[in-house]
Amino acid sequence: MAANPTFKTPVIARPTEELHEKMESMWSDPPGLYGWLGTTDHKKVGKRYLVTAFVFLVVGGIEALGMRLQLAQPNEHLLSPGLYNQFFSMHGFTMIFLYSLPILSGFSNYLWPLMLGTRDMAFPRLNAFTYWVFLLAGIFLYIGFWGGKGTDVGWFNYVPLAERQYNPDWNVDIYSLGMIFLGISTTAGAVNFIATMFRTRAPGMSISRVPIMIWGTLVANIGILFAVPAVSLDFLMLWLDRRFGTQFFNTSTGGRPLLWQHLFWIFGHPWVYAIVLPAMSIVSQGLPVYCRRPLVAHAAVVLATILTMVLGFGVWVHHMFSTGLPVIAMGFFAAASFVIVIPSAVSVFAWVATIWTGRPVFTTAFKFFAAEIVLFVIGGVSGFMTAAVPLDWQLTDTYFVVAHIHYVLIGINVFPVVGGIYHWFPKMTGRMMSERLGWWNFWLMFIGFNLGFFPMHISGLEGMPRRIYTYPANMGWGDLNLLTTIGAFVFAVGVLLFVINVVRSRVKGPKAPPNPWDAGTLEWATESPPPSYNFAVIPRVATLHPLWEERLDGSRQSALDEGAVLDDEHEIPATTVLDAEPDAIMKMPHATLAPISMALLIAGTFVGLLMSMWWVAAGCLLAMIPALLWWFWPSPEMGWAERVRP
Amino acid sequence: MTAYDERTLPRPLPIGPAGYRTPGWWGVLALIGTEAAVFAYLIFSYFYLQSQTSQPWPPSGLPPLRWSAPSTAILLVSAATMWWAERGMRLGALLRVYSGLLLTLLLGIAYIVLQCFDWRGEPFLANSGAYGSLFYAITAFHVLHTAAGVLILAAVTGWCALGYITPRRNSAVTVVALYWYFVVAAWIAVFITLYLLPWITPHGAPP
Amino acid sequence: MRRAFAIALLATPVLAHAGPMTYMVSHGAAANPITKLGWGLLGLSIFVAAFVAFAVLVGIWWKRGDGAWDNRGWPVLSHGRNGLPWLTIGVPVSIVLLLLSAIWTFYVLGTAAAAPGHPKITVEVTGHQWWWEVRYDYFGHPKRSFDTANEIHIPVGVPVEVHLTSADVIHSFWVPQLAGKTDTIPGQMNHAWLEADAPGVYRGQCTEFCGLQHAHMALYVIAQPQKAFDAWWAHQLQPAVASVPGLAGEGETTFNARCAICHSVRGKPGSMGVLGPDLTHLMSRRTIAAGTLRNTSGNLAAWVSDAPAQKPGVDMPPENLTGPQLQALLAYLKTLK
Repeated sequence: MAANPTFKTPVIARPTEELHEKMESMWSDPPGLYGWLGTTDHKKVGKRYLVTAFVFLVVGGIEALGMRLQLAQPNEHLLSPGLYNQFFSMHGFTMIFLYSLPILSGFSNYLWPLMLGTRDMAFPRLNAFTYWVFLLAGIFLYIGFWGGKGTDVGWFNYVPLAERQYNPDWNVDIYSLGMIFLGISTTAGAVNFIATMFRTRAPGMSISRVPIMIWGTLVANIGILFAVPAVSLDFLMLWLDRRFGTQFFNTSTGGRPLLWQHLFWIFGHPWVYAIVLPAMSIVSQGLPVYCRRPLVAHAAVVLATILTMVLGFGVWVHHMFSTGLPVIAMGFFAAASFVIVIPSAVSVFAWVATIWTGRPVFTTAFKFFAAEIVLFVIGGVSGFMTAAVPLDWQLTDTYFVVAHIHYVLIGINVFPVVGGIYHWFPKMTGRMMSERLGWWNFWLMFIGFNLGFFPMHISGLEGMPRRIYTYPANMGWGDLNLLTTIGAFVFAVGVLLFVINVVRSRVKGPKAPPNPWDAGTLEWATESPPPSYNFAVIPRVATLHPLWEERLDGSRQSALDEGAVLDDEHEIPATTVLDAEPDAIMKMPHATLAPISMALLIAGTFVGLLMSMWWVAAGCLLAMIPALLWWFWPSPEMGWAERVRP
Repeated sequence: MTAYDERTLPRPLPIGPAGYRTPGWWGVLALIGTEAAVFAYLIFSYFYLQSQTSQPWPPSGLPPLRWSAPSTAILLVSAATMWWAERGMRLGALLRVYSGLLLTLLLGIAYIVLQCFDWRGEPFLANSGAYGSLFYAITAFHVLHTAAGVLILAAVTGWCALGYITPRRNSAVTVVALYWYFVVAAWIAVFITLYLLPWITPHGAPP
Repeated sequence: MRRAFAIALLATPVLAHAGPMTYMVSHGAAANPITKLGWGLLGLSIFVAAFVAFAVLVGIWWKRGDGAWDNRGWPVLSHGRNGLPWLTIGVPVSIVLLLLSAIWTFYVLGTAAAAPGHPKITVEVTGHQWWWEVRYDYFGHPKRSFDTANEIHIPVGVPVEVHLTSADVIHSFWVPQLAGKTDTIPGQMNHAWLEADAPGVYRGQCTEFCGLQHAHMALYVIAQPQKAFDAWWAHQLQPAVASVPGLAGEGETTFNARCAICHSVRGKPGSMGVLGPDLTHLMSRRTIAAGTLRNTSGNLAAWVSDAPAQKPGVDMPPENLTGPQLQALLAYLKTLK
């Protein structure tokens, strides 16, 4: 048999002790710094995303607490206006870009190959690369803050305020370049998820047997692929205006300030679905486990997810209702914004139905998932109110919208994320979290959140504008703001308890069995934590819940203990798009330093551009050519031919 | 009871680059999706500003076709040579592959050179107005994409010469061809928008 | 019934707190239909949210008969009863409610979007960082047009068209109890309209983040009976008193030397500055510094001596005036009634 064949037939067998040992030595990373920096293991990349995103959540939270102290009473002087403007701007983009998507990428990176019954993502090196770029871009975005040059014109960065004429310092340049930098990570991640979903599912995992969490993340990433370029282009145009005097947004020379807003919101609205749809799918995935039944109307929820993302590209003008656009245009976008409520209603009713027709178990994870449903609907209805154009002329840019966005972001992203950690922590770490601490964690977060943000609906209806560093005494806003500040701190204590629970459980939590919650999908068929190779033999699935088949349908139809061995170096089967029948074998890379090197070169390019050190930027760009050659150099390990000519 | 029967027992499967629709192909397809979106947003910006302005657009008269028409023709030919190279790879005709890849590469370089001449010939600068800014942004974006394509072609040609890419393991050629077709298609959209449409639907009086 | 209760539940804190900026009560034809729509959609929203919360809670707690338990003490896994009716009923009901809300919304959009008929009065408002330039234009007659700042008067019961633009960055013009917001965008002229159905003082504020002192860019719209409004307009048309004696005269000299670069006073050829608000009838306004301070002697003195101390980041520099100079300047300013 040739040492480097172009075709082979996978061997079907049961796993043996020798196979496990062979796979472990083949797939585990080299020891030391090389393995730590060069790992392409999706589980390690996923955990890094989770931890880093969580750090940014805490940083953004501290910024929020600072803002809340300043706003607790009228006419306070805790933060100067300049500092307050930095705080609210940094809080905005930290939460929206450095926390809310990366945390979901962390879950998806960790869980996808396990749920899909395979051994890694389609592009493991690209996966590692996206993490390093995310980390470096996050650091890049924050370097200004330490020098008092954090961006201070809001995360939405409207022109002309963001132009050099009104903001000559480095703040906006750091933000603009940093966003383009971060966009590289987001886009590359989307490419990875799409290829993985379409090509690397376990044999037999046809479209109707794909777990719902895969759908939520896939749909979000397809949206990301088409939305992120708009904002990257927007920021590039702004940076070119500021640095080279181009005229994209200058009315007197043919530009328009509204061009910024259009491009920004063409990105911005799909983005909000990108940061909630995967989290909604976490609830769709986890809630049924604690209701002891499959999700009601799984197919309808999948279709609703897709429809939400598609419609999400057609509503962006609802962020611009007060800009003086033609009434007929605004009418169209208002109609679309009403229509997009419908698929959300499908998901909500599916969840409620699952609870009603199931038999709930009150674990901490269940509490977070159930709370998400209620908070979702509160956030959803306040959004529905802003879809009504003339009413939005009153509501927009007041604290009513701040209440709305926090109900949807904390309610539909943070709560499922925390619930998701309680749900998958045993799988990721091999230890159980404390349910007792979880009880306190949940109630402090739930009560604190509602105490903090519900009054914002009222202060918004009372006319309190957004983005103000202080307010006069006789507006009727003082008590509400004090209540909000107290609630915010209670919520923060809840988050602190969560961190304590995670850290304590990691160190001395009780050992976790493979499937502590008796869930139904493939990730629970592995050890806790899974071995580096995930599955010794590739499973073949026949239903949506392979681990529930025997009890739900009376017989086991999937094969979990017998399957393709594929142990000639790193190999996984590639399967067809619709039916997931194997049609190729993919070779996977080993640990390599090429991804982090590329990420560092990209960082160097952006630093060079920021400091106008053009030679540095050009040098780093040119150095990417050998780095990419290194990354993509054909090797037999990846299935290429041996070099035949000397 | 085993899940494996005559229907589901595996058969010989291609390994890695011996396959046709490899992950790399899907990856480049997704990349094309996002890059096409960039061009779409650039062209959207162009049409949006045109629709909002009361000044003539383009402000300095119709963009000349002196350099852009030949460069368009060159790119169209390069798509054909790329197709020819890909076909050669499938037939195992290595000479065709090399000639096709090299021709495509040279045509790509020729396009870039012609585009530079076109820039030199324009009467406006990138910072003279929104039109100029967009014109240079759109065309520069395309030149950058073409340059990246040229570099990738050079790498693939080199790897073929070194023997890593063979007719049996040829997915890299399919993947680079896919990217190159995108480069040509994007240029057609840009050419029509920037160079042809002003002739057909002039906006405002030329100076 | 639940809906009325819910509305009352939310109405109480809202109305109890009712400050000058609440738009859940309004006083004009441009805002009234919106206020009704607001209450209606708010009521519907509270109902929906309460319904789902109730459903989740009941779903969790209600004991649904006996089921088997597994050896871990958890309920046994099962297919569960048919849950589809939640969707087959819930989604169509939601669609109907959305459709009705949309119809009402579009109806209000039609009535609130433009002023009825052709308003006879046009006010041009230009947003600046961080004050409002106001120009009353009487059909282009220069002798009947005048400039002022930060305070707009309108006659009761008469629709007033507002033309909005900006001199620098994007601001947003908002007087909640009279109308919804409209942004002021440089290079673009936006249109809004106001109408007050009762005399009163209505507060407004900038609602598009515009920089350091976005929080202190308020304005007041004062609705007066027609006769009082006509009198106010006639008064505003008057130039400032030609000569002022004594201390005020010294103050005028100081003014021309220090302030006239930025501020204009009609009738005084030396004061033609356009960078700051027109001060011809400064003392007729209730507030200064764009609604930040009440227009009292003390505040005026503090503002004139050191504006950035009151409003950090403002373009008006601190004036290092001696005590007598300040007194003279204040005496002059007090003549600008």
